[in-house]
Amino acid sequence: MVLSIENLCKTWPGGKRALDQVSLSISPGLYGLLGPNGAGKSTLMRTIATLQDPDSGSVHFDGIDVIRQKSCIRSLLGYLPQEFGVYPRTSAFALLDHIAMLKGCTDSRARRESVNAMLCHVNLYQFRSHAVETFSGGMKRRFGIAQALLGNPRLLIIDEPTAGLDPGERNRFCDLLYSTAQQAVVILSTHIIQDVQQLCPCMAIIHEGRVLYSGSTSAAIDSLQGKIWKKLVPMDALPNYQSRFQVISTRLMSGSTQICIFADAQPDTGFESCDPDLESFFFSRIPQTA
Amino acid sequence: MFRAVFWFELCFWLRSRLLYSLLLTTTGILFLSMATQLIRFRGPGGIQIRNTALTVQLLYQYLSAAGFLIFASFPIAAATRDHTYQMSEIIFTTSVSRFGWLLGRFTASTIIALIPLCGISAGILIGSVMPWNDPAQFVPICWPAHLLGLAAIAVPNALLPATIAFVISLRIPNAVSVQILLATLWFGTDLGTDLLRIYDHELLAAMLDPFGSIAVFQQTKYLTGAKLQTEYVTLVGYLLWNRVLWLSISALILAVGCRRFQLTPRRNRLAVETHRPVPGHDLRSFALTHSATPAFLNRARQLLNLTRFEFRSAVSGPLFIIISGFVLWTLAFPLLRYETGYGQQSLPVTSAVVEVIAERCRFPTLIFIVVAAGMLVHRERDCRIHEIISTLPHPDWLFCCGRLLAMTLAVAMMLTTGAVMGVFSQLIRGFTNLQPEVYVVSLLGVELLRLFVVAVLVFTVQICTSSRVCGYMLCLGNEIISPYFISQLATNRGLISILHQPSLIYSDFYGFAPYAGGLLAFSIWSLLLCAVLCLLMSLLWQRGNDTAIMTRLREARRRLRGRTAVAAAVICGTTTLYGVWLHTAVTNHWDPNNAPTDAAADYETRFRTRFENKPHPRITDLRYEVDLFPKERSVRIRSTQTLQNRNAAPQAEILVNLPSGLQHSVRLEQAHLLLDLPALRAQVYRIEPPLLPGDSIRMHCTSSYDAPALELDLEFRNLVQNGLTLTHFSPTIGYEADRELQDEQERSKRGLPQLRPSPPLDPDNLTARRNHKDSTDSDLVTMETIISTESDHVAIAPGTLLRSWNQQNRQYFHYRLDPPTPKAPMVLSARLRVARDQCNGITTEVWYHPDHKWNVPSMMHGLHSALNYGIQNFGPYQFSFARIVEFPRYENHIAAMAFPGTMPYSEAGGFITDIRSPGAFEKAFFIVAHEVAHQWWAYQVIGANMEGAKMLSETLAEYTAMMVLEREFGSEMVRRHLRVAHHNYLAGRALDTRNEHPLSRVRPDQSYLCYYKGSLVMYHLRQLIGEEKINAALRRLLKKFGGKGPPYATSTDLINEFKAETPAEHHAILDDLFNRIILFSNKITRSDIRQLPAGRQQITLEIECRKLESDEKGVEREVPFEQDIEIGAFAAVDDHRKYGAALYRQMHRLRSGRNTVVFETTEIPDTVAVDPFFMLIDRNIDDNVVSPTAEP
Ligand SMILES: Nc1ncnc2c1ncn2[C@@H]1O[C@H](COP(=O)(O)OP(=O)(O)OP(=O)(O)O)[C@@H](O)[C@H]1O
Ligand SMILES: [Mg+2]
Repeated sequence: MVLSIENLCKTWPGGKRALDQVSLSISPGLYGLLGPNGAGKSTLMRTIATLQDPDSGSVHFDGIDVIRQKSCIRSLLGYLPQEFGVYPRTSAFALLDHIAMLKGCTDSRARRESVNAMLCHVNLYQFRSHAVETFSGGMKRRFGIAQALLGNPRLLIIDEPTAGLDPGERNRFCDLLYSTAQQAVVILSTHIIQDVQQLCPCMAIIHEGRVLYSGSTSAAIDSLQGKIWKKLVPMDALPNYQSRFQVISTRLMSGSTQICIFADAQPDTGFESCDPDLESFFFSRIPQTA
Repeated sequence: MFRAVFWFELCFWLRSRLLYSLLLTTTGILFLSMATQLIRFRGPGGIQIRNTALTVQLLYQYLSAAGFLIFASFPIAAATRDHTYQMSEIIFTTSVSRFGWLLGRFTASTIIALIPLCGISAGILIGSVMPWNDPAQFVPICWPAHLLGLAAIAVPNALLPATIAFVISLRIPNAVSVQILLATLWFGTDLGTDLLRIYDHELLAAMLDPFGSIAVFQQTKYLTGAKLQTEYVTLVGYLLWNRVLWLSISALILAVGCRRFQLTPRRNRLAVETHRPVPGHDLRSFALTHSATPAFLNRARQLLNLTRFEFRSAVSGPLFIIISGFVLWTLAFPLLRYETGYGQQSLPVTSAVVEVIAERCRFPTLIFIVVAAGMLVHRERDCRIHEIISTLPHPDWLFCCGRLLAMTLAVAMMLTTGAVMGVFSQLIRGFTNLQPEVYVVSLLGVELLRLFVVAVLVFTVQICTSSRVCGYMLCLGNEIISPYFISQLATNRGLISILHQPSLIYSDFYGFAPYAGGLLAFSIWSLLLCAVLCLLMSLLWQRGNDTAIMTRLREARRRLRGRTAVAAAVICGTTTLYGVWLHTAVTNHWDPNNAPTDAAADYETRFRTRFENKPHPRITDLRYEVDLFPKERSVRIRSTQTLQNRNAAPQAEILVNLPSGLQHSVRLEQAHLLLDLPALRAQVYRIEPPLLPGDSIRMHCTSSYDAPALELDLEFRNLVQNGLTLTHFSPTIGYEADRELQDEQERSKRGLPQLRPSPPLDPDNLTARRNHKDSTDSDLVTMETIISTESDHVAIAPGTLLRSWNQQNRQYFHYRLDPPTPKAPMVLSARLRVARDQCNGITTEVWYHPDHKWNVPSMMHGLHSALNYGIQNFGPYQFSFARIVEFPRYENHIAAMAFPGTMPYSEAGGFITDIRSPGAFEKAFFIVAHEVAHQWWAYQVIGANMEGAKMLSETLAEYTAMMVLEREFGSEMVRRHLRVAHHNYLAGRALDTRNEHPLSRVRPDQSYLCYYKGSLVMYHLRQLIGEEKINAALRRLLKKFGGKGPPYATSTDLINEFKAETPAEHHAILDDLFNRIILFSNKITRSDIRQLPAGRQQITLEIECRKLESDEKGVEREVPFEQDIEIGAFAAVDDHRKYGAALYRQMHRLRSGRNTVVFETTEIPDTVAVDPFFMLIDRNIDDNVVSPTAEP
């Protein structure tokens, strides 16, 4: 049960290359997608979720050609789009029930039980008779998570699931996801790098449609061991440093700026080595334009 | 601030494609209507010129009223854009000022909304100068008409909906809801003004109609011929006040709406997120248990569930609620006051009620389908939930089928609501014969199927275009274009189009029986085609984000695999096979390549010179043996006609015409067939030796008809299982001018000369007077008919019933008609009940359907009164029997007919008139009297075949019926008839595309003259010289022509008799009435009351009088006159009458120009009137009547 993506290309009308020769191989478990805004994460996920055809390339899951055999893949799929709306005047229960019915559960009793259980899992049970359109941002996100998880999908694609969740709900969600990930391929995109670091054993970084890194998360962090250096510098000296080193992050600290740079050896006095994390890996890979 | 918002908005719209496509569409449509035959807007009064000033204005009027939703959509978009694109939170927190924002948006978007209107003039101007145009159809451009049309008619019409829409959408920021609300408002006011008009508040309606169409109509109604080409609407009178009123209302609405608006974004969020503890719910796995049910059952359940879900959300949505409300509102009035002309009501028989419901529901349900389809197909996208729904593993067909079903159910619910209203209206009017099967079959069967087919088509269009606006446009275009193309296809190729449901006429006589088979075959056909379309829809159903057509086609090809491919093959295969079978096995009456036109032309070229006006033998005696098989819809007729040579020369060649439809085989004694042309249904025989003067031969003919096993549209709607009637079924002799090609364009294409008008009125033209108006091959004939039919039927033919017997389980009837009368064969067979009576030694009978007994006494009354009146005033009645026979409602416009002594009366006519209320017009009575009068004025005095013939029959029958009516019910009843006649005459002459003639020269096609002007003229004459003198004149006419052969009577003979009875001083009026086209324009300009001593009132009227003579083209010129005209003063109205008690009625001598009349009454009158009962034909009768004002 492997999702293999080969040489996926997509160019939008207007010439924007959203995907450029993307190849990934994803095995069961959580898989994180990182990338700046407009990198092409959502485009990739929509392609896997049968919503749009690539210009070239192929996607296979478990021997199923995702692009040609859409109906086969859909029965294994759970998808949470980055943004979505809902039918007006429809309660959370009714909508989730409707979606469960469309997922193929036609036995109304069994369906009701699963739907209620699902609503409990995402902590929306007490709002089940409220219209979804009146939900707050985070509640709607949770509703989206619920519908994606419904029906034990074997391929779960979730686009920025944690955006807008409060810390408590985020933890709940992480637990929920972790328990699901055992038997399924789960791809999630996010801007919260800690999530990936915590949850995903494997990940990919995408930038301007190209895969800059794909592989194990821990290996990525390890590869930076001893290559990240930090220093407190005055604010006005920043441009100077930026021109001389590969600055991967700057942080304001009580009037002066702490900068982190990427270098194979200690670049200068005053720089001290620090422990790499996924964020430094991310910024070391993404060309900074400041 | 205003300027910034204004310019931004203006530039926004100038970049939008919608604006240009609308402008192009309007220009294009108008261009096509001018320069091509594809689209034709019917000009006023059926005029042939395409760009008259009035046409331009009416187009402005019509399109600006019809396009109100389009104008509204710009301001709606302007008002709701921030909300729709979720910009409001950003915009409203900037420093924009309220009025700057509102007015800027409103002004800019309204200006933009007006731009497409300019396309009307553009299209007309461009279209009318195209080089290929026929110059006879165009007149020079009239700039003031264009300007007035745009500025005075169209712009205010567009401003009102724009303002309302803008203001509403500030409150309800949802474009669709606002549009629906607006449409409802529009139809509501439309209906409201209609009601005002029905209740005679025409002028109030003219003020209140927001689109000014009634005011425009006021200015243009009854215009004829020449005036239609030059006149145009100007900004005066009611139109001016209407415009002022509605512009102020628009301004007011805008002001109020803007004042109440606050710049705050709308939010609808759950107020507080409470953290209540989660109930102890069983936290089982949320895996969906896929039950072990077979896949197809699962699919069926999914479909069922989805349909339920969609149906629920459809019927709780605003669209359904508003449209259902509208349906109820449009139905309430016609159902509670079901009227049919004359302001009288009909009984709510189920078939009529169902017809009203179907008709009234058709438009709103259509709107519902078109709008709802647009919403349903794009629903996911609109709610932005499509990314979730599309990835769910449901089959592709599920959504289109489920939604179609849900929509059909919603429509069925609307129709059911209508049906419930119908039942309710029947019950509260005390009518209990409900006939639920008629409701079910007509509404939930036939009507629902028709709407379902439309729904499928609209869905297909929406799905294929993947853009809602495109879909709407296509549906709209389809409304205009498809009837044209489809009818072309259907007539030229004989293809059975799924939009052309065969017509169905229910009757209490035969139910749905004759139509059932064809309708079933058609329904299966259309359902199969719908299945094909559903297949197409499911292949194209949008499930991804990519809307490009190539991607969707590629995806469709991928979907067409495996089981889908098998299903597709089965569906398409079945449809093809069924289609082939249907088009071969079912009789579908279409005419390949203009066959009838060619035949008519061929008939004329071959036979006109050879036979027209050549002497030929005359039919003197008819014998029929008719076997009717109503159940099988078959007929066998053996006829024997005796032909006698009544000319001076021997006759050798005769032309025999065979009636259409039936199979004939003719055998002429002593003659052989010279020429047989089945396509022309004509044969030529040579008699050898030639028939000598005075000698007779006999012509035998067997004719038969067997209805085909399956027929889509019935070829013979009159051949039915119960109530079968047949007329004019035997061969005729000699050249028939009726068969000539009537369409002038087709004639010139085929090199035929122009159609000759019917022979002009000329009493000296004895050749023409040899023939009477109904047949050219006989004078007066004797007739014998033996009919056999099913044993429980009664068969009726003109004549005395000699004998009736039963033989081999069939019932036989033997009728004989003497004395000789004009030839008018007819047979009828139905299960009927009879009411029988005696009157002056004549057996009177009313044969009626057992369920329709309500008005039988009234009809019997009419029969007796008319017989008595005729016998007393005109002369003896020629038969020993007089019978009214009810026949089914095959054609709703035929109310009744007259055959010798036998008068078929339609089921939809007087049999269902409601005469229970005290103010009801006695229509049943009146029409019976009219038909009885024809026994004198058609079957005794027979009009010669030339202009004016119908005055001898119809006008005199109307006169007789009016006199009988007056005698039995008083003059108020007659006046109600006259009021209708007055309107019908003026409206009829405005629609006459050929020349109007004076009454004495009425053409056969001018029924507005012989019936309606005839009624007015005869009543005027009777006021002038009195009933007794008219009847004396008629008696003399009868003595001269009654029951005699050629030469037949002409209208001149009648007028001469009238002249002999009229004092010489009135001869000029007589001439005006019969030989000229005279219109009056009388008007009270001032009316004062002065108190006199002893409680008397002195009333002073200032009256302006004009008398106009119109020529046949409609050019009017004023002629001076001096004539006695009635002046009346009346008390207040206390019931349904037009006036209260008469306080004063006197003739006054009035002349052209201003007159002053002074008279006294004892009470203060409520109304005063010049010519109160409209004896004179006056185009504007509203200003004849005023309420006088008391002098200070
Ligand atoms: N429908 C579309 N039409 C044209 N261009 C698009 C469309 N959707 C996305 N793009 C472009 O494709 C690129 C990739 O977009 P995508 O949404 O995949 O980015 P992303 O990685 O999900 O970004 P984010 O983190 O902001 O969600 C962007 O440059 C975007 O502008
Ligand atoms: Mg994204």
